[in-house]
Amino acid sequence: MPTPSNPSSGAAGGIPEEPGAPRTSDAAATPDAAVTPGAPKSEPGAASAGGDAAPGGESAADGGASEAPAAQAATAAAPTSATGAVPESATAEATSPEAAAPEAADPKATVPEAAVPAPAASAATTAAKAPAAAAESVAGTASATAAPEADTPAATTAEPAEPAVVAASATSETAASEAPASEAPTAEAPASEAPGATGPSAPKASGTTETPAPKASATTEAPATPASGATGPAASKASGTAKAPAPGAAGAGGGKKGRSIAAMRRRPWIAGLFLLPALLILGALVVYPIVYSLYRSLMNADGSGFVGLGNFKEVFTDEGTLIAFRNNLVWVVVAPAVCTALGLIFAVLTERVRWGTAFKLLVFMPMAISMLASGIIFRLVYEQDPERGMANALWTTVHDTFADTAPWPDARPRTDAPLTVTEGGAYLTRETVDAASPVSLPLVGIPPKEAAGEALAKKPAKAAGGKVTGTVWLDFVKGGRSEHNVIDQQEKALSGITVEAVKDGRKVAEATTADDGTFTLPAAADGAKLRLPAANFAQPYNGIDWLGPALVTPAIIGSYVWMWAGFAMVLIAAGLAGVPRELLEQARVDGCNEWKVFRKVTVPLLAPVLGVVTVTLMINVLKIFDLVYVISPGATQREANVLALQLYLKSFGGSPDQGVGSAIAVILLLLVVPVMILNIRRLRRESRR
Amino acid sequence: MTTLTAKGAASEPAAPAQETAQPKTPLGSRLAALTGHWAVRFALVVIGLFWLLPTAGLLSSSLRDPAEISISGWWNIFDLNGSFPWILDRDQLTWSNYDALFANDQVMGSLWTTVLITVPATVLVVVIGALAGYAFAWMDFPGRDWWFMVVVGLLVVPVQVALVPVAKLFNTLGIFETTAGVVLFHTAFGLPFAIFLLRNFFAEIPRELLEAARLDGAGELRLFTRVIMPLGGPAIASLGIFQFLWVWNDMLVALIFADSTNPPITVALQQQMRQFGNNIDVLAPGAFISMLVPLVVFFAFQRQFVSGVMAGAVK
Repeated sequence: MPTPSNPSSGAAGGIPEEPGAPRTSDAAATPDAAVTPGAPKSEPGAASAGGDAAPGGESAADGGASEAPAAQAATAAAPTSATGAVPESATAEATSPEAAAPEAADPKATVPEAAVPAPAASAATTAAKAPAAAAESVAGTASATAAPEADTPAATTAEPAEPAVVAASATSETAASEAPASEAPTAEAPASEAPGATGPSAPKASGTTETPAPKASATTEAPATPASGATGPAASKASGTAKAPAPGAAGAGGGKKGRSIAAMRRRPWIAGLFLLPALLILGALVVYPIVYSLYRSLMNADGSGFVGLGNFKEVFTDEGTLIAFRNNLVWVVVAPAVCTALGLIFAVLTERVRWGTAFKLLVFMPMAISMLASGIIFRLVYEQDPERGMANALWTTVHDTFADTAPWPDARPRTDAPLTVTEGGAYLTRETVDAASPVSLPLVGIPPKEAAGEALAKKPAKAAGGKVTGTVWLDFVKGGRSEHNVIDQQEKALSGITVEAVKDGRKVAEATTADDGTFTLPAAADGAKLRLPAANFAQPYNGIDWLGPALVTPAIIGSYVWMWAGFAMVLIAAGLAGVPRELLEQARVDGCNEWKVFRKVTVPLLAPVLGVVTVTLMINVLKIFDLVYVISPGATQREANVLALQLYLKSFGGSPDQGVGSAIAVILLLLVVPVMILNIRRLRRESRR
Repeated sequence: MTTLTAKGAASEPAAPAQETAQPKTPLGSRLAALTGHWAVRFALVVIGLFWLLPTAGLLSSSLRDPAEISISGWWNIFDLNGSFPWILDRDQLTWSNYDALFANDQVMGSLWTTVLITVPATVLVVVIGALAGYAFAWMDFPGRDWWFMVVVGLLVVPVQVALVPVAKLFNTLGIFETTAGVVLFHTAFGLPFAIFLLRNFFAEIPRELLEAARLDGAGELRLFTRVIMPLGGPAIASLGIFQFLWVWNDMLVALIFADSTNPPITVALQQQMRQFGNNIDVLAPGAFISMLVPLVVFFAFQRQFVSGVMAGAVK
């Protein structure tokens, strides 16, 4: 419950603005309020509220009522009221429900004890709900105000105030309507206070209520009729209590009935008219397709014959589909985890930075653009050629910083040159060299443009002491006459080339050519063959083949993270805003360092939000299609395949087999069923509280 | 004291590591916090840049001559040989890609198709969703809760499940490969979320407002148009923006259900993509144009968008 309630309820209202809302709902969600940040606050507040109300006795009762009995009690009362005598029953309930709940009759008596322990729990719940409800409610502002003040009875009253108002305007109906009102929780909270001190609570209520502009006016009426209002609230409470605690179906039922009675008693068929378009479309285009897919998945390719589970068998044996399964698994595990982790980090980091909002906006922005556009963007990023693709440009820059690069990748000897090409790609002199005559090592194959910056090649002076000298140069002049294997004018030197002297296959000396292409080897090189190792001419490092078979899926996941980390960040940041500063401050004072605070306080408090974000992303990732379809090049589409894409290709590609396509669809559906159930259970819990 | 601390922090990058050793001293924590701040800012700038670069690359590519795009990276619009604050090399920039794009009837037509799909799909979802949301929030009918549960269950149904059956259905109805079909499909899959969001929102509307209106003799329809819809503004805005972006950005549904001779922009660009590299001069500006509307909407209505996204956390 804690997990789901946050996002869904808070979300509806606009969590973003107010931290208060999520926090409070959290509190409500988590029984062990102590742990929850919001709880401590709201709880005491609520408790006190209960205490205040206690005089009235009802509030306490409410608190106690949180259990089923209360609900029934309420219901019990409700029937009466619901039927016809709404007003009286309402009043009656006000007292009775609570009374009934805690061993009846002596609400006041009960109050004291109940007030202390029970209220805490129930009150907390109520308070929590109240804020949550507020958050959901239209007036973002209103909720904002309400939430933070939740502790204060007055604040709590704010929402109840509405019921009160209703009561004022039409007490009888109001009572009835409130009672049923499934939202009652909100109503309850105030109600309880209201009874205690109708006068004060009502006024406060109105005061607080003012915040939400639209409602404000309405609410304001409440104070006007304090007396009736008082009754009203009480009634509302009763009903509220019924619902709120009401695990008991009875209570819930009563509540709902009440609400609808108020709104639409006489013309239930109008509801049908309002629902008709939605139900028609949903039925025809969502529900029917589900059923049809189930049926279709059992039929053969053209739908003419029944094949049982044959299609599923094919899905689980076809190699292409299995790759899709494997990739989907990688996606579902990696992408949400990375997004959530990054989101958490970003949210925490931006919290204390003044321009954090700008950063968030930047990171969140990719969510607004289409996956197609992202796909095109990342095809550009992942271009293989480091001259064009950003990823490889960055990567090769880093790589080349740490690795030597070959000076002359394309240089090669002419066939008539005194050099031969060995197997390993090195160039070896045909003859052994001797110190007496300088060695000529001419190369070609380099575009003159690239050598333009080089110095002119020079014939080395004959070295003394038996040293071997020589020149490596580009034996070619653009447009000019060039005699092969002779250093002509205008011919450029090739600097930076490693020259090795080799005797019997062993390297005995090594030198590097200077700017003018000359080199000098020690005397040991006399009589050896010279070798220009292949490293001189290796092709430059060409980066990573991002979209090749091995990396295509991680690469596409990278683009997904780029798009969706912002989503996680925003949700988590909203949750983070609800973490009470005092808790963090306390932890710091207690000697925790930032990392410890983060790990021991922040993360546990955010656990519910993290859970929701992860689950949401998992569902999203399960259906990933566009990015894969757009980014993966034809050659590696197979390696990048995912279920949704496979489904599309099978159903609508060449030689379609919609039986297999439907089988994949059914599998996708089955995979989301747990989340579906989770959502529904969350809903039921929420409507019950 | 303060300055001293600051100095210490600046000269001691190892502080974060040390703090573990002496966690008991608040001073140590402060030191760490200060260093953290500096490093954090730097990290955020780098990350932000990292997040911005891909989009910048697209924009830059869309403004370069096709011949240049095919031989050098988009960053060459900056004069990288110069000193660090690189200056923009104006010779690299040209509007010619955009001129060509605007003269390209096919692409322009597909943009219009996108509008023709997105606007009705958004309006329909809002209206139909609001009607149903109101009914779920304020009306009584048999099995209401059960029905609503079904709607919530449908929230997470993958669109892929419906592709084959709906294609068949549309074929029968004669609206396969038509704009109307795409609109209907998007409406259907936008509805569960719309109903869920709006019901929750409407349910919070103060009862007395409805009661008052009813006492004044307003019918349900009047109540809906005069009270519910105006009060539902924020939620409707969130929903509308969310749905708008969703439909605008969709490719899968359009790929199957849209008229392939006059598809929306996403599909049109996807078709262009078959010979990638040769026509990046069409793709880059096309993608950028297709992003413009969502980006404008995003920046203009961030708040509503965010709350829509959050509410959609279940979708």
